[in-house]
Amino acid sequence: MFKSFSQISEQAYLIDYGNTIDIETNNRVINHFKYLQNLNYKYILNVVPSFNKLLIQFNPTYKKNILKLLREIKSTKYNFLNTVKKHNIEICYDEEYALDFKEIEKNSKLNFDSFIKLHLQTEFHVFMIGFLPGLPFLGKMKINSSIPRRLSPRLQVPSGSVGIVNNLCVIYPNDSPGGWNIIGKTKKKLFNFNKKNYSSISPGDQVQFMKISKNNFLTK
Amino acid sequence: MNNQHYNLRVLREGLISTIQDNGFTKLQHIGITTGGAIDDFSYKLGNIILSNKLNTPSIEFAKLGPKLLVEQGSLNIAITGRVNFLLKLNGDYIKGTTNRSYFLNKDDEIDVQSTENSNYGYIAIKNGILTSSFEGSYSTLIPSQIGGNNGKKISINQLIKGISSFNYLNNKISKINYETDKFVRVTKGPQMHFFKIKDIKKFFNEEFEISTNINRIGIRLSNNIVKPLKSHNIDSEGIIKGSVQIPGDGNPIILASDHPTIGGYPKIATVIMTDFVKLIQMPPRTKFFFKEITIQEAERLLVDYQETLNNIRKLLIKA
Repeated sequence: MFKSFSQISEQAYLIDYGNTIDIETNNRVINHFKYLQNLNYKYILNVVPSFNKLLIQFNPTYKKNILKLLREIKSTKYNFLNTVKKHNIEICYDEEYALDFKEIEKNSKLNFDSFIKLHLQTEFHVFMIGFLPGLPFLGKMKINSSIPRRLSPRLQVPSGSVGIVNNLCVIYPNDSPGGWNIIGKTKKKLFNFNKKNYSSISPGDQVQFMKISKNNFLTK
Repeated sequence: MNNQHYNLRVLREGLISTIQDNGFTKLQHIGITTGGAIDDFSYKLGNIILSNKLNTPSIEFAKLGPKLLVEQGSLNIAITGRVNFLLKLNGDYIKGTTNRSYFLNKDDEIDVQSTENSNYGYIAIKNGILTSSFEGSYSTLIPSQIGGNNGKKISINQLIKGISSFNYLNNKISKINYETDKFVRVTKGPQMHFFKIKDIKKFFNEEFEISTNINRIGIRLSNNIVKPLKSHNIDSEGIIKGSVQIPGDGNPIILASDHPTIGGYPKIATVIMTDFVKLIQMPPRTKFFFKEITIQEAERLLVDYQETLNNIRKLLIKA
């Protein structure tokens, strides 16, 4: 079920599910994403879910088939989210890795320990994977104050860093430039080029963070 | 001696030389973008000249190209784009001509000196290149470090290998007309309604300039600032090559082959695929206008483009 769709190029449609970032809306996106993935049609070149949109790139020769498919899924409810994968991810919040804990304290108006508690209590929903291979966008924390991006992005965020903007959370799969506020680090491998299932986390999955001490982290 | 394979030694890597083919599909949802040859036309032209399959991996270079020495074997090559290059054949240096094949033996050299009034060119090789691949593509995707050449740019002293050619090809295309008009055609972008009518008019009526900031990720424009009405950010969504996104400072960025998979800037327009080929070859300081056309016209032009490629194949002269 979606609101509308528009053709944004000779070979792409963008489907619109709404303008809010919430799990219910995103689940509708992901249900259609999984449905189209399962069909695995040759003329569908890419299906890219995001918070509240679904991008479909296709071979223009088959535009009629795509249009038919879009009409079919518009009003159909699918349920591919009965078996959601849960991932427990160990995180170390030590100040050595929590590069931006001061900004977090300032913007969230919580001390870092309370923020950590909130982070650990949150059962995160995986909205999408993107920007970098395997990078998950997670949400939402029960936090009302706004936590903006860093004014100037870091040129190199260390691999495994866990970042926060507002009530959303990401994990950087490798060293990369980035503007999110870093609160800790994990050793979870998010992307594996040698496996068939390249990204260990999929859209629609759930993530729970588990706190580990610096000693434990260093011996992993 | 094993002459079944050719070996090219990289004597100079050039500004940025990579291995490219048609790029990746069905991976954007895990963060791997489409990649692939940035100028689809020149890339395919090289393979047409050599009667290769159209998706055969080639060497893409920018501005200053590579210098390569044949250390072993023999091969047929063709250089496409608007390119100045020298060849060392049997000890003699000659000035090369684009859009025709050359047969190279041991000790011969290819020296790609510069692109001419353009940005990218290609060295197509009969039988292609033997290199690493990812999910069926040999394209090097540097931001993800995957694909051809282990996801890295071609570097000095390395070897480029492939299967030798033993037959001397003498193929050429007589004349290629490059469009040089000052218009880049676009269709409506997904967030055109984020802009005031006045700014949309400004977008189409005033000249843009290509900045010096051109790479495989995107082309930065200058000279005409267009600011979105509402916020500078939207909820991040899947993005495509050719999208014209407007960041906070109002200078558009047109997404190219290695763009990120998702993005949060509003997108006012999408460059049609047939004109992307022209746009990506415009050197810095080129001035141009955007012109809006309908999706139906864009679709028709794409069909024409594919027909043009087919016709070129028919015009191939085999001596």
